Amino acid sequence: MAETTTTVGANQVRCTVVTPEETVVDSAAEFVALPLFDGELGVARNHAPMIGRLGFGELRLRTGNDVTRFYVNGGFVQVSDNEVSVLTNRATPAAKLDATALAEQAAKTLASRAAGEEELELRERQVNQLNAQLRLARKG
Amino acid sequence: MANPRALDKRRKSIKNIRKITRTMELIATARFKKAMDRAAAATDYTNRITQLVADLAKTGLEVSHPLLDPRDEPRNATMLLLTANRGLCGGFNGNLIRSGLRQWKELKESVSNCRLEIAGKRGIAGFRFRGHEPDEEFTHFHDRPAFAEVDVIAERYLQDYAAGRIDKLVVVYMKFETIARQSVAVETLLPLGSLAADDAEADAGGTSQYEFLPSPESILEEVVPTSFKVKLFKCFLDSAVSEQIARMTAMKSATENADELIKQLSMQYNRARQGRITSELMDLIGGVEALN
Repeated sequence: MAETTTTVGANQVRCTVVTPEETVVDSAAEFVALPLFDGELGVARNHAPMIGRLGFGELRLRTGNDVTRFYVNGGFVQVSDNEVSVLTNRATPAAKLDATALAEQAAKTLASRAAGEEELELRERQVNQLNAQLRLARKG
Repeated sequence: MANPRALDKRRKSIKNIRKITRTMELIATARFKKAMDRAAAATDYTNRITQLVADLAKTGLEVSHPLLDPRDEPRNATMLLLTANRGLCGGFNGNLIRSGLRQWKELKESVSNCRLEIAGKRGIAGFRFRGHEPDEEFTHFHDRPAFAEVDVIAERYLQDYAAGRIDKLVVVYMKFETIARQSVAVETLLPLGSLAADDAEADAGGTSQYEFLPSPESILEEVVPTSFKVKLFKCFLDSAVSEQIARMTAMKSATENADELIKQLSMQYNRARQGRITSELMDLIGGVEALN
């Protein structure tokens, strides 16, 4: 693993977000909110070590009043020694999400035909993911 | 005596070729650096996944997953060959096609039902020329394969494997070892046998300090496919890096060769020119002598 390059303050945790393509974030934050598979999880300093599965949704890093938001889709999180490492397939900064394009795509997906239980499920998941991105795009 | 004008023409055209090869070398160098950075980022990801698996193993969890178990009698196999879309990169494509053909023959002998998938125009053309029609071809991978694109293919393999349409997946690609050395590698990605290597590391630690959400089993269930996807992605990245290195070295030697040729031709040209001047002078002198 890479050496610590970011300085971590007294009440902060170090957060790294890694995708197979690049290291998206490597910074210190006071509070990290993660989209776990069944809901949101907040991590502050001295959190108990844990490994969790991520769902899709908003990843939030807060330092003071600065909030950085990302959309992550699937993956894992490992918390230990005040270090949060997020392994995910995809992490997009909220500012880069395009609300109009997403809304269009969500509408299109919703209107598309799906036959059979599997396809219906797949479609629902896609729509949910798109909506989650959309919410984030409007916030950011 | 050679015609100085013809020699000069040849020299000029070689100078132009040299410009092109030199530029290609520079471009390949720049692309190689970028590809290398991406590969390094992917390594970071794989290291973390490995770490995660090691931590999982510390819980005393039996590491077992359908993707990890070899099947007794593979009946359906797929071979994926990663080549380049473009040529002018030395022996890169040639070596891959040669090894790919050998591997393909072996696979066909041992497994009844084989599928051939090739990425890269060169490989597709090479196999077609030798009478093997690929079942699936990809030409959209350039020097920066995106994870999302590889993910689509990986997802299909996983589904096929789960449904029993594939029992074995072999990937033939150019493995990047060091900048000076790349070699053709044949890897069996499905079944994914090599998580076992991580178990050995795990023995060193004591009990796990981690809390698992939702449970180690469910995380393992997710980690194994992810690890497969990343491995496949790594193959694509390695192939891209190796291609750029191969092109870089090929173009470097081409440029050097052009330099050599230019030097030789310049010498020949100068000699021819001098020879012509001399003979003209001789003519003149001869004429003057005759007048006297």
